[in-house]
Amino acid sequence: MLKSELIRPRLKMRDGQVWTQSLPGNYRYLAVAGDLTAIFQRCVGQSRGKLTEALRDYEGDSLDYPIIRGLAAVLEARCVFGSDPPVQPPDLRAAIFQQGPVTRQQDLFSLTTRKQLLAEAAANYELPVEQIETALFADLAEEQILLDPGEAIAPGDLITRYNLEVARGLLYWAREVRIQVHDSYKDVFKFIKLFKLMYTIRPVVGEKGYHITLHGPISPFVKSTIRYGVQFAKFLPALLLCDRWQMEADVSPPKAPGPEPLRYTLNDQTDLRTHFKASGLFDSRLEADFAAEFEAKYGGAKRKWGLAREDELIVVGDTVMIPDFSFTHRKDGRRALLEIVGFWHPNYLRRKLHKVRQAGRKDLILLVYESVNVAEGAFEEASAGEVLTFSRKPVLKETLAAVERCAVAPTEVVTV
Amino acid sequence: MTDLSESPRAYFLGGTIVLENVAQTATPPAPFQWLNAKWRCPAVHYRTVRPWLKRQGIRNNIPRWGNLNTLALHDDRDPHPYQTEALQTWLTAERWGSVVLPTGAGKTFLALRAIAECAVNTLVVVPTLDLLHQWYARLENAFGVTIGVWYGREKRLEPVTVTTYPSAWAHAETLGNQFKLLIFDEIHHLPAPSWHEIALICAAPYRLGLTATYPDPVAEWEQERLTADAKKQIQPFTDAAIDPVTLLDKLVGPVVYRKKIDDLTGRQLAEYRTERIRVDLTPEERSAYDAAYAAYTGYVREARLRESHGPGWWDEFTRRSAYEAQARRAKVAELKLKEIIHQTQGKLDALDRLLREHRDQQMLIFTAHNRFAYQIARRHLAPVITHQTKAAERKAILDDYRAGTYKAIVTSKVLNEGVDVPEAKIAVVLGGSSSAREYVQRLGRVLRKRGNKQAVLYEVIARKTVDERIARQRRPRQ
Repeated sequence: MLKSELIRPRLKMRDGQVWTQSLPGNYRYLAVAGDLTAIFQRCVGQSRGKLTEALRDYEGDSLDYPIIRGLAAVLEARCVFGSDPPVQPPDLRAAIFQQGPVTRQQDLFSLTTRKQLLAEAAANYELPVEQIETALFADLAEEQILLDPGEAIAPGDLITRYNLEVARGLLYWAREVRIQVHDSYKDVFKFIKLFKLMYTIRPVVGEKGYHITLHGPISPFVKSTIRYGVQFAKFLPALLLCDRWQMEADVSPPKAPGPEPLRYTLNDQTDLRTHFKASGLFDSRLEADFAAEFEAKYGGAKRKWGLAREDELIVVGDTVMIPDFSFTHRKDGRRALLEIVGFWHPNYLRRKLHKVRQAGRKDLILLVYESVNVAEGAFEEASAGEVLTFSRKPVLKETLAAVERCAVAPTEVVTV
Repeated sequence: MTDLSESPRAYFLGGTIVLENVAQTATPPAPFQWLNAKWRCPAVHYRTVRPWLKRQGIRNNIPRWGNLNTLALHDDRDPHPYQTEALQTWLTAERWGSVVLPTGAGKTFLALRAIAECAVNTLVVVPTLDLLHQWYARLENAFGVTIGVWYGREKRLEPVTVTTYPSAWAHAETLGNQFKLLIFDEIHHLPAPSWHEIALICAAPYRLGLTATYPDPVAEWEQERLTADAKKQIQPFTDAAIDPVTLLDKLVGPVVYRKKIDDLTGRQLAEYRTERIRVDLTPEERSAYDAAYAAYTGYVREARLRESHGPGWWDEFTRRSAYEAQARRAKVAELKLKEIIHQTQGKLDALDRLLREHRDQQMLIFTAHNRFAYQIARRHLAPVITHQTKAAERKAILDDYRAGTYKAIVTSKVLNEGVDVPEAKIAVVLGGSSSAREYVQRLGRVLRKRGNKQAVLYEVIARKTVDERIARQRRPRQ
């Protein structure tokens, strides 16, 4: 995440649109990225102030200074700075400065010199004078020592990351972000939740996928606000985890030509690359085994049901539920959804059942690990569809029978 | 079995009040709207919806604040009658509204008494970091408890905490339900775009606004137009369509007390004399300066910036330096020459001499930049205050300076507008901008005639450089 002054020079605006200039990974900028990485390496063990000076020297009077500073900021964010003074700097300052001020030139009235004061402090703290000298302002940002420049990064990767950070930065001024996604729902919602955003969802008409409008709690009560801009910016890399997606944001960057927000659009054809990790296909061994067994026994060319992972959202109040699996009939297209509840805590199960009841979906099957904790009759009222239990591992045959009973044509998704 | 997770409750979510397990068919009071499958309203309405929640038996999970029963005000100053009157009026007005008093009439003291009277968790919101530090010191002295500060460099919550408008805006979701009393210093800043969201997002049912310059109500004809505009909007709060007074009425309450006290204003400026000390650049500094100056003025002259852009030539220069190689080079040269004059060796030598001459007098030393301030602090072993100095250390330095333990303080631009700076007999200005306002404010606050001894201001200027012009420009026009 870069400061906004590093974003602004990279913006282009025209005809109500705004976008960020992508820095090309050409010979010139690869060299700059390489040089900067080398400067950081060289400054290990030195203060932030020295690093800043080295960077300013490198920048000179180049017109590329916003780019150079941006690339350097990406590198700096990866660094670990620190200091471990043997004495608390504010205490040390108070102790020494109460004897000051001292002057260079001595005269009749000069009681002490700088050298004497520092030597006195060194004696009091039982430290060498050089350590007193460094500890004096060790708590200032400029005096922090660059301890670790972070994992090595290739010049091309640095440029890629920089371009992503600039694209994120444009969203600092976003009032609302609308996205359309067709896969990776679990990751998308994981990060929406992580960054404390709110959303409204509606299905894309005519195909699989969802329109999601992102905003924050206060958004409905104000005409417009940029207070969620930083959260949108944090979220952007999550969107890049999807294979098929589009984004459209209303953005009001500084120096926009008029009062109307500008449109910022991105889609899956972008050159931007995410640094977020996609979660694995399965959350648990139980789910992986279930899928493997299904493919072995009921898969193949003659299969009746197609099994897919987390390909449908159920909106429950102001949250979403993403069932683990869906079954789609190969011929008539009927579908059923399956949620496997493995090992659980009673509170977790209670919340889950509450959610399922709220969802009220006839085509939702809950497969629950049976434990002594299950209260008699707890499930009957819980689900609109069916609840099956298992004691060791999910039983496929029973599950498929339930799928057969519950599956409905997608056009007639029923909530009870 | 009563399942707690399904009983109705109200909670705080990112600046809104949300009703959980309350059906769409319920009829909560007006501010609530059915959105995203729940009843929601901005947290500012907590004060008005609380009785309804109580009547309905809805569990109230909103407040995270507490009472401060042991809070005691250690300030034996007698309040002025108008301060007592203002406080009583505000208390009677359900602790909801603003007090308008002229500058210097003791608004902070009034606020301290309001905090003591309410004895609840309190957040004070102020416009600048300088004021934050000042409030911090006043609160800590007044109550003798640890005071929280919440801004860029320090984020520490305590039952009584001071923050700035920008920080409060950025963290309103976190702070919003932790304080029962909200105090806005210089509340005329609140209606600014975005900043009013602080008041919207906080749940505090007690609010006190303070200012000397409350916004003027909008003229009637204009009000009609604005109201008409506002009606077109569905939302109750908008950035632009409501005039500041109406907005403040809704978010903090009306003005409950207003007093004009003419004789309290216009504090006399101290009597002091100014001495200018001109210093030479070293030969090395001189040649570097001349080269940079030639590069800078050469461009400005050649590009005929003054001729083509008149008084706006400087902005044009800055604008061009972002994309034109010549201009960029000139800009870098200009920064370089400023750096040379702001910290020339000659100024250090002059300061050394002044420190010796005024060994027994309290001195304030001003520099143009932090880096130079730290260099001087290191060289002379004197305390330094910059924007990096944390609240506790800053207060300690100023206290010890007032007590005479410290003879000198080095500082860059931070001791400006509206801040209680300790008195000094000697001020040394080593550099600074040419803004006359800044100049007068610094000096008027600092230099006090004591007995019949005049205070002295030293201006140290680099000879035959742009420093001379800057110094000339900053002198107030008589």
